[in-house]
Amino acid sequence: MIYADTSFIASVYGLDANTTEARQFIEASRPRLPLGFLHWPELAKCFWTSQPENAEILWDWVKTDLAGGKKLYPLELEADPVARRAAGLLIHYCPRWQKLRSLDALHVAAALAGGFKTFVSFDTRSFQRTLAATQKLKVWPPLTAAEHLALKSGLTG
Amino acid sequence: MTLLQTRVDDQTARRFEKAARDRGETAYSYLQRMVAEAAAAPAPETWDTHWKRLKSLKLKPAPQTLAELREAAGER
Repeated sequence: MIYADTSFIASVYGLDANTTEARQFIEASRPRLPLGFLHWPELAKCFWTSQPENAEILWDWVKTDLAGGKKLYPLELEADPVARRAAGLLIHYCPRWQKLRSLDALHVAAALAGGFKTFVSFDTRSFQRTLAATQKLKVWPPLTAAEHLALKSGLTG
Repeated sequence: MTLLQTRVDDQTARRFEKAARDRGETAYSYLQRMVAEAAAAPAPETWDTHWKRLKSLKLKPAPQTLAELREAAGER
């Protein structure tokens, strides 16, 4: 059960510095990835910012794959419990990790609410992946040294 | 009771029959057409063909990853 943050899905459907690494993961694990209400706005922003000439094509591709069900499938979660869980995570962790964004916590909360075991994200620039690790989610790619340090401080702080 | 009602619940059967009537068809001919269309539809794409298709789009590498975009936008 793999939950991919939008940063991973954007690298799979677009072409950026993480696309090669994303491909390696896909080829090794051949996952069906959930796509939920948190992914849509971020994917839209990413496609229309990074690939404006092909944004419509990428958008339709994602929608077609979601309907096809082989690569993506709709993740249906109730927004309110996810948001409340994210709020709880933020209350606990944002005083020490001030770069932790609301959307980071929402993705982690969605993964927890959906019962996922693995959290896939390329966002090493916030504390999203570290937050996922605090919740016993297996994080891929593995945490960086800085994230490990933050995890240690987050767990003992 | 129609044959359709013996296969699915009553409400679904009635809705299907109405949808067929609205299209000027019988339930049977509508069902036949749906099955034929589904059989002719291309199979959903899998990861096997994903990268070939991505390559065919000839995308320019994005200047920023999504994580960098998030940071640049100052998203909180």
